[in-house]
Amino acid sequence: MTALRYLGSSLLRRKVETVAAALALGIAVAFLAALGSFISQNNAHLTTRAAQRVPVDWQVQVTSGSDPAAVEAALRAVPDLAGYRAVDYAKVSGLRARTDSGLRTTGTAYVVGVAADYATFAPAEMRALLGPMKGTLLQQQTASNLGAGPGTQVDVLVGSRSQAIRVDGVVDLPAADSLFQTVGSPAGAGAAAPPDNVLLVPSDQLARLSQGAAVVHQFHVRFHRGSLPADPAAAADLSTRRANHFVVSVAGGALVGDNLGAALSAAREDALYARLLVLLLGVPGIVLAGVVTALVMALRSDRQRRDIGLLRLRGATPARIGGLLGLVALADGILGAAIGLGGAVVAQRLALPAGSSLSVRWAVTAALAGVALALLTELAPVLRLLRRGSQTIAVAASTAPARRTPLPLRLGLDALFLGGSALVFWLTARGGYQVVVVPEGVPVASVNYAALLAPTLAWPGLALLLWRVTSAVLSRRPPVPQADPNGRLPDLRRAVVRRRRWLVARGATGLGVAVGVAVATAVFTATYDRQARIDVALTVGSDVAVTLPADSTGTGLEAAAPAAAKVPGANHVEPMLHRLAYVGPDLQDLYGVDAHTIGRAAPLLDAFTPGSTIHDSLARLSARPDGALVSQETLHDYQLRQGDLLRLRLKDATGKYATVPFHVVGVITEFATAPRDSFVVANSSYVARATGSATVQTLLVATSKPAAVAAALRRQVTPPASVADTGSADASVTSASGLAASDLSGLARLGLGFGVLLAVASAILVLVVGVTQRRRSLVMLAVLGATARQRAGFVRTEAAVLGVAGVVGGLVAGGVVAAELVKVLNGIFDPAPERPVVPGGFLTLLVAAVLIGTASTGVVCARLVGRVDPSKLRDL
Amino acid sequence: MSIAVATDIWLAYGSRPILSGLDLTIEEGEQLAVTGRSGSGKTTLLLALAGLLPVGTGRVTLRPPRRDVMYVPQAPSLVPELTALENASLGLRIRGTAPAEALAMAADQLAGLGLADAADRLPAELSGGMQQRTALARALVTAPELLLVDEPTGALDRQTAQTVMRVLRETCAAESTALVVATHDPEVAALFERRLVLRDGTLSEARR
Repeated sequence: MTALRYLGSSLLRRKVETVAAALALGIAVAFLAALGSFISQNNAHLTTRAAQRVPVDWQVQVTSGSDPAAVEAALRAVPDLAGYRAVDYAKVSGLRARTDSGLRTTGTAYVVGVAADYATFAPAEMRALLGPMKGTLLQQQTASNLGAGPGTQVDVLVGSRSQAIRVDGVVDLPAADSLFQTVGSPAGAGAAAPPDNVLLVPSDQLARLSQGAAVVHQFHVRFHRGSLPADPAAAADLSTRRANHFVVSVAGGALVGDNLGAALSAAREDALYARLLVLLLGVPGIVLAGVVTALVMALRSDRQRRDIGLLRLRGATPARIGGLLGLVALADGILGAAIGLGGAVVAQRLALPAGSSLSVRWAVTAALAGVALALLTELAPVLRLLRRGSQTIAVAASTAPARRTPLPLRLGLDALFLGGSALVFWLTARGGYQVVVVPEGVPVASVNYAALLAPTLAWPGLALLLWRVTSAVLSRRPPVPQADPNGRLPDLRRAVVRRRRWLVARGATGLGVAVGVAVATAVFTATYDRQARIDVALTVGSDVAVTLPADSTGTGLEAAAPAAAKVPGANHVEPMLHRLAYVGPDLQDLYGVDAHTIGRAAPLLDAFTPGSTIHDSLARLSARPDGALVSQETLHDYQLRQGDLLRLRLKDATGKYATVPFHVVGVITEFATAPRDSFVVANSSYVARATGSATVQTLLVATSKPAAVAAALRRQVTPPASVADTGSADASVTSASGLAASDLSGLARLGLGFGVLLAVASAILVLVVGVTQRRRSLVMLAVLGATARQRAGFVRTEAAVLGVAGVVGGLVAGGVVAAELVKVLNGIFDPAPERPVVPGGFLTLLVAAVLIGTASTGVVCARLVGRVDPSKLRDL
Repeated sequence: MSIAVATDIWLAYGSRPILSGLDLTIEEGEQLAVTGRSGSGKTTLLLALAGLLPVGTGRVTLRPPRRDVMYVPQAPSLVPELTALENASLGLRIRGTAPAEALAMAADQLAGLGLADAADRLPAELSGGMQQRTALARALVTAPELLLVDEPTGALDRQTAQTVMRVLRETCAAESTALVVATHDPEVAALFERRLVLRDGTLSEARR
């Protein structure tokens, strides 16, 4: 009962201190809870998104001579099975159709038997182009080759025999690559070209049409996605282990094409990068929030000292005193945690994507951490006071300001940390900034955590350096003025700051770190945001792009180009050839461009052409008609050098592959619409001449109104041509970079919001601590007759030093760490940035907020100091 | 001519009365000592006379402006980041005296109190007595009209105490500064012609 009375009176007597401590603690708890929720949700989002991209989770292929029924039976026992469909196919000699234009016959074709509801079961595998999506369906390329459509009768040829079937519709097979994958091929095997000729038929028709040709039996399988672990690595691992178990259970009677596991495996890298970002951008903020909270709590040591004295006078034992003050600390912690959880809900609503919610696990963790922080920071000084006895403020007030260089600086830790950071950075640079290594086909991704030492060591190094530099600047002896009739005391104010320089510089360092965290987050996220926009533009190809499938023959988009150029808002229309070419055994995209004009529509950066500029690379390409820009991978894998002959196999106008000689004129790492890292860029005129086909597969359209131009173009073109634009691409286009901007934006908003909050709180706190420490001196000035303005002058001088040193130091430190982060986490960017982006607007706001916070606190403190009742002197 | 008049002042800390209907008149250039037991209210009386502590009822009338009334507390009262010389010059600087002149005057005053060698030291490098003398120098150098000193010899040895009291009284006499010293030291009190005893919240003339 006594304890509760003490608690009640203690909280009521120190309302301001209680509220300040609870608010500081609340910020730390809110930040931790919101950040933790971001981590959980981001992982779940990456897993969900990766899984969504998979049209069919498994392709189970019955091995030759095995019983499909036995495999099917085993399949039914696989956990979390949502459904499966039998998909059988046979390779036939060709397809033939007689149309108005005559008799046309294709080369080798695949006849695929699918269930009637397959389009519903795996909607991402098929897209209707003409007619219904049931019955007998022709792939659009095949329809184009045969000149066939709904109603056309097609003959399936096996050797000299043929069987006829009527076509019901024409479809696109967007995931043909995976549909016709070689199940069981070793990981990392090169991509194989999907078949040009495909006929989809009802399952019951396959036996008749294949006419004895070998039939491959597959089961396409889908799982309940809700059962997947949130972490992509765990989800990938689950899928892989489940596939292995299944293969064992059928005793090798089937092989599994684990599309789900492969997609989730690819997302592991993104998840690791997201975790690294949280580590590098979020953790410094959390640490800072903890330090700010601890400092606010420490403001109450004066009150604690008095309470201990009074309680001792009344005969309380140290254990009893500790218990009573611990109760107050617990109440502070609970209050702070409650405020923090409320703040976390607000932060999560403001910063995280719509539909996300606060993670209960992280909310509980953050609340417990907040209570522990309150107990630790409040009780540690109490225990010290109980053990050593309390020092009176009068004694503390006359204690000499520290003159000796602080131990960390005497030891040269700043130089050691910065030297270490520079060394690690150099070593990381030598290794090509490979922080996350995810070998294809290997279930475990590895993180080169040593590389993270560069920014990790840079933080304390820069903080200590800021401490040293600020102290050095403040150590200069101020000049004594000739006259000072108004008693402004400039020399004495600066003398006070000079002799308190280690303390003042330490405060400026705290503020500098807070500003630095916000700056580093802002620069990194601005850079990421810009690269993400470039990534989307690269994925689309330009502001708007009209595309036909690669190697489309016949009439291409060349006829649509003049009309596209007339669309209001279209600034430039650039035609581009898109072919598939064999580089050795690898099938790569080949883009035929006009080197003089491609830059008008395609996003091209110098960063795309290592060792050169994009302008020079394109100039070399245009200077040599058979020139080719190839990827670094191709250059390396095939030991090519500039000027080397490169023979590629391309389809000619008849659809047959022919060898075409090129000469390497340079390297290019990214190109408009290129979905993979390996591709070739060549002159369109040469490609057209060498292949006998000038069919244009892509139109790149430069415009400032992508959505409107895209809408107009969609009305002009007909399938199979499709239109994409950057305006809607954020949501609809699968970005080349796995971790899309939307994923990072939550972290960025959290980091920036709390960064500003912490920076301003640090500025206020450092100043308030300084004023509190010198309260007695300021009261004495009043006793000596100093006016409120004269007393406030001492506070203003300190506020100015803090503000300027903290902001300048923070900008420099944040900039350096951001530059290191951008370099070290190079792999997260796709494409890599040429240089970090400085978000001028945000930085101006940040600096203004900190300076306004510092100035306002200075004014408030000065006013409070002006109001100090000298009668308090007897209480000190 | 009266320089400060306290009329029927009442003052309490919580429910505990400290001053109870106290009356006191201090004449220009007068020097007096206030004695009393610890906790009798000597410091409270000095603060009230200095105009630093609002009284409950009654009135304190000061003839000089607030700036010409100086109070020297018993506890250390120097700015820890300023040297003894800078501290001693602080009162003058606040009143707009040119820095060089203020430093020269403060140095003279410190020398008079035996602190010539300590001028460049920070308060933490001074003994309690030296700090007290520096605070006295800071007050004396401004030549106030009324100087209120709380236990000026509490931290001094006997010989230094005698020196300090001599300088204090001589300087005040030379400047016609009225001096009120609160002390519990009978030897210090004996130096003054007029001695008052504070007991039960009221003052009475001490018997010789």
